[in-house]
Amino acid sequence: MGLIEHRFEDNFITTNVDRVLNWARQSSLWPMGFGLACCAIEMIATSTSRYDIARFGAEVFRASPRQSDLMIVAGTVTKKMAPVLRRLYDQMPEPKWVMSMGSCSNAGGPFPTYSVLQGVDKIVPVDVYVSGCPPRPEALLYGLMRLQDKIRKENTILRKERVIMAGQSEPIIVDGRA
Amino acid sequence: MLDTVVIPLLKIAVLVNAVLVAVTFLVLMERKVIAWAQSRLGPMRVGPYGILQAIADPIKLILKEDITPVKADRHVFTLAPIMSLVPALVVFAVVPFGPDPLYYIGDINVGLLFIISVTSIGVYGIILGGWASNSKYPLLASLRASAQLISYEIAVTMTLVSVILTTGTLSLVGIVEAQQESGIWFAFIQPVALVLIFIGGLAETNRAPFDLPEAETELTGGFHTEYSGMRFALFFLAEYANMIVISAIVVLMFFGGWLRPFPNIAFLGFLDLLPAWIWFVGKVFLFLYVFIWIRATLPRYRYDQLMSLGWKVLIPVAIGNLVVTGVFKVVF
Amino acid sequence: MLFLQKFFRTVFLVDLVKGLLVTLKYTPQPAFTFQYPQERRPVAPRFRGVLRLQVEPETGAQTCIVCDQCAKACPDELINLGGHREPGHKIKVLDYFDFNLSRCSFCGLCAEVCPTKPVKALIMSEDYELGTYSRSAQILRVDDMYDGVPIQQYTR
Repeated sequence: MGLIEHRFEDNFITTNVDRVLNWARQSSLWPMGFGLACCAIEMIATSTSRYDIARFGAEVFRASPRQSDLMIVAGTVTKKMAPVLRRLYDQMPEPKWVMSMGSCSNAGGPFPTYSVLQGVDKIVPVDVYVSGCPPRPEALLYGLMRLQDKIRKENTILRKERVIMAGQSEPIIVDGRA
Repeated sequence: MLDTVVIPLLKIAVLVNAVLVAVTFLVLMERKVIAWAQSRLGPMRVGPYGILQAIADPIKLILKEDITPVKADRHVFTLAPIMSLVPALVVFAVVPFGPDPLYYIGDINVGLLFIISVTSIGVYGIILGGWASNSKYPLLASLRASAQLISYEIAVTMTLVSVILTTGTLSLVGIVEAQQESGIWFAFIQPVALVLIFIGGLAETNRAPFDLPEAETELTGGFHTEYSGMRFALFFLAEYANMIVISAIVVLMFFGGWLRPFPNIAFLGFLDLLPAWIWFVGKVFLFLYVFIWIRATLPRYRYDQLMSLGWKVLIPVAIGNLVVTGVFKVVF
Repeated sequence: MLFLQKFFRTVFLVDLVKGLLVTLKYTPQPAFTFQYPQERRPVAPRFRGVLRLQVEPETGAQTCIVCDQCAKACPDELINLGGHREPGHKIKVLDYFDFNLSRCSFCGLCAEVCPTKPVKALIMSEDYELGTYSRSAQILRVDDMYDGVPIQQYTR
């Protein structure tokens, strides 16, 4: 939990404070690059001179999950990688957001196989799904702006703990163990 | 009462706030300058030309969840960022921004020694932070930090001794006044010392190309891997405050502090229209730009290269410089 | 001689200064960046964006003949369409066309096999702005599929 969540009732001040906080949060989304496959290349391309994700204040790709706000899952998540991904997500401090980039992490992509996680939303709550195989850098920036929209509408102070939707999740079996 | 308590306290309040604000905007400046060097634009969408990025980042960091790992040493973990930030701010007590006592908090006759010793305490913050995290990457990083800082401290201090030999004083105000008397910046008298102190300063502030303690590609986040939110921001503030300190030292010792260029040539007197502290701040700003410029240019040193540069090059050159300075002092 | 040259290069930090001059040269130059939401760069001519259904440009009549070729061609079986015969219509009337965008790898096989002429019913369009908040929103229904469906774009 963050510093101020769940401490106050909803009122005029909180909504106005919310606006400022949401502005700050949307303006400095430090991503944790979770480059797993070919989408990672497009994610890197997004931070190059041509597209320049720095314009959004989001070029600070932190290597440590403790300092990042946004996890961009870029690429095929295998079932071996899934526990690692969940662990890194758990290590991120609130408030945190997840962006699923590309068909593979959206739904498993062209790999409906035993080894590939069929969508990263089975293990972490995803905020924005960016389609593409891989998405163009512009599409990633578009997804980032969709996320900023979402953050702007968020109720920061009364923020609810986010969980994976019931029924959406099913146990992931790695090496015969859940 | 007024002179001994109130005015110094006011000065401290102004200075600390100024430094902290300067640091937040220094981060923005770094992002912008690196972006320009890479033909990018840098932050653009947060306020006009991304100016408000410097405000949005701290607000966000303050409100982030503050994680203390379960197996971390709680007290030391909390103490470490404070230990690294406070010395960086304390050092500003002896930094003179201008010639008369209004522009500095204190002018002690061992000013340089004070700066060396206090900045060295800042290293403990890094070492303790890395150790208290109880995690392997921060531990490795803190080991690296301690080794690096010890080896570069020697070179820097040796070099400072040669500058002290030239001036005959340890007071920072005295050093600048000595430059005024001799009519020439010490950068032209002690060029080797300038290069050594600048390189040593880069290493002591953990800046690229010597940013091994926070090498992202090798050690995830370096010593602050386990730090989140405001504690991480404190480390960040400390690093940038240290950058300002090193720039200020270089400017005071080699570029005449608050003096205008060519302080003894009369027909350049119109340059005195700018107040002294603006000259000082401008020069410091220039050196901060060089810091960022170097970061935008150079890749990171390998660890063994760093050590051999420190021990095999910088320290012998520093000792040589000291000997040559001493000989000149005796002969002439 | 060569040794001396190398020695002086090292002592006077020639290589370092050269490197610094490179970055200094690029610093004042105008940036390569194009600012995406404000300016939208044209895509390559053969770019494969999201799948779109086309109608007759003049009449707005349906061109899809519900032949199911695209659904068969799709390697991931993402297209599901159906229609019914209606008196007075030469071709089947399209009832539903569900396209599961979430798995699509934009290979373009479906558009390639589409047999209708002269207007191709199924094309890979140039739209790539595809960000959704949920997975159910990624299953495109027939109404979201027609070419020229406005997508939410950012102008600021």
